[in-house]
Amino acid sequence: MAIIEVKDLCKSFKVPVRKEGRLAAVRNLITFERTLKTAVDCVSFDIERGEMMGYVGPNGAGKSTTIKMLTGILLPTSGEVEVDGLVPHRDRKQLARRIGVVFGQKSQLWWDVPVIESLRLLKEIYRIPTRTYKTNMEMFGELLDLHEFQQTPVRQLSLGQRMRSDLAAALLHNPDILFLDEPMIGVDVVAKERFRTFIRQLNRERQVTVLLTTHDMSDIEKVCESLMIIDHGRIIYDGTIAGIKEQFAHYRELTVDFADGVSEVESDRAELIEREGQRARFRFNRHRVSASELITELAGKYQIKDISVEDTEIEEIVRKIYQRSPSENGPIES
Amino acid sequence: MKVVRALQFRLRRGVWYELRLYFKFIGIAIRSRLQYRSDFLFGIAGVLILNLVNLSLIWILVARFQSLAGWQYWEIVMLYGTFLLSHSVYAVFFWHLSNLEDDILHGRFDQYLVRPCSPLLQFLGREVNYMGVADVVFATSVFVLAYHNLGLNWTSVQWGFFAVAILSGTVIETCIVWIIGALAFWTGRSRAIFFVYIRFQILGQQYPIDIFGMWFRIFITGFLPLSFMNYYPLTILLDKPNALGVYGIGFLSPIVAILLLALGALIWRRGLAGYTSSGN
Ligand SMILES: Nc1ncnc2c1ncn2[C@@H]1O[C@H](COP(=O)(O)OP(=O)(O)OP(=O)(O)O)[C@@H](O)[C@H]1O
Ligand SMILES: [Mg+2]
Repeated sequence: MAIIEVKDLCKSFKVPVRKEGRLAAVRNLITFERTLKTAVDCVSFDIERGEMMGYVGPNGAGKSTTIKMLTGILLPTSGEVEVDGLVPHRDRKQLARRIGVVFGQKSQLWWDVPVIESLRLLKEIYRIPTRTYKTNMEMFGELLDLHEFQQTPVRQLSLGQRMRSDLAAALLHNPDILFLDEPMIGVDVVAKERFRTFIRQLNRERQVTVLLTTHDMSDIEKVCESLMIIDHGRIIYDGTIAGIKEQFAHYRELTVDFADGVSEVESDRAELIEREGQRARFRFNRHRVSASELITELAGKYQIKDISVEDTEIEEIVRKIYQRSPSENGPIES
Repeated sequence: MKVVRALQFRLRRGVWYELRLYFKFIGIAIRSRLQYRSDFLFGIAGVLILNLVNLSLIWILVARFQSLAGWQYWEIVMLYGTFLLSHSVYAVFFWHLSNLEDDILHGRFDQYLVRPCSPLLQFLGREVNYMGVADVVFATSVFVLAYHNLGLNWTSVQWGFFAVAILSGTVIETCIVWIIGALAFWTGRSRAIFFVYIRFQILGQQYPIDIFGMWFRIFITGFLPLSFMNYYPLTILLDKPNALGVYGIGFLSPIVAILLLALGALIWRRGLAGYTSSGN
């Protein structure tokens, strides 16, 4: 049985209708009109125990809203959620003991006291046995460099230091599931690498299930095995990372610098996707056309100065998916 | 039977757990506040000055008319002192309920909701308000002064009643502010309502409500039951007729407090279930 089961989950917010035009301010004041804004639109997915799932999508796609429903913060408008056999909003307190949550944008620590005091308080809140607490603190000290700033009040920490403290706070009670909503904002490259290693290690050693949202695709590539892409509240891809590469890797790109004097270019075998000065980018399906065929064709037709071939990166794939117009946004067909 | 006992045990353990945490939160809140010492000192000075101004205003008024609706100067001072005693406990521990809308609007309840303890107690434990300490000191001295000047000599039963009244007063004020704050779960903001409330509170805290018209008396008894904080209990303790002319209304203070508490809890539960967080 999957540890997270989501079926037809929707969330819409009531937002006031903003009037425009004459006397807008006054009319806004006296109107009680509300419209429904759908943030999460009927999504279904399963996450298995021990899975590391990346959750990406453009701004406003509905990632945070999904996570808030999975953690019991928000009551779903409709649909079913089960996390570790519990219904999050109903069994919120019980669930809280089994999950760790990091919202990168908001700290969960006590602002004016040293980090260590927040952690001690969390020990009480979660009733963490002293042994577990000590083991974990040692581990965090090493892996997150907590020693360095654990006596500093949170308000004086740098962004990256605060993030590390927040991660430690979310993990102190050995949660089975970890929800990370943009946990890497402001974390430097070295710490970021450590972060990733740390999460992978937790997953390996403790079978922690991870749901990670981020805008940095390399986080996903380095940490996760599976990926969900959400856009306008709908899940448009749910599968492995290898799978999405498989599906999209049949597109490759060829960049060609044409000699001066070449104006109109086109190819029977590839799609021209960008043209800037003498440089042009073509996209082609590697199963149908080989790079050398394409180059031979172009070289036969035009004078060429330089050429390079690239594989599509995850980032590229995802960007393309984001850029499709909303009407095209059905599930991706391979 | 066994089930009932197990349930009782769990309940008691739950309450104990929550309370213990609440006091830990308060401990942290105190230590947080102590970091800003000058703010503390200015705050205390400010509250003392404010209270002195209030009292001298009453004095000017009463000196002019000798008495207000049958209440002598020191009786009115006692009215004020009694209100202030209740209010000061509220001010120390629950003052920030008036800022509830901020936490709701900015989605700060997210963090309270992902922890296994009461979101309300987490919110309440987030702050203590030192300025309330000045209220405590001032209230006590004003009350003692009035007590002596009125030549009172209360029995222990009367003192007991007085203590219950003070406690009820704290609960009443806290609940009113709590309920107003919780309205922000629906309306987003509730500060405007809070300011309106403050206006009424100022009227109720320092004047016997006999000086107002009937409609206002009913309003401040039945709808915004502020007069149960000081006025009604004192009519009993000072043996005065009350503004509604019904004997014994003052004994209802604890009941009003409990009713408000229940109403607050109900509204709170509803509001929290509909909590919408914030977009970022
Ligand atoms: N509390 C709220 N009230 C009203 N609308 C909201 C609220 N929270 C989110 N929304 C709306 O729901 C949509 C989804 O928001 P959400 O925060 O889930 O996006 P996201 O995928 O996390 O985006 P980002 O990458 O920017 O964090 C947005 O259009 C947002 O405006
Ligand atoms: Mg988000």
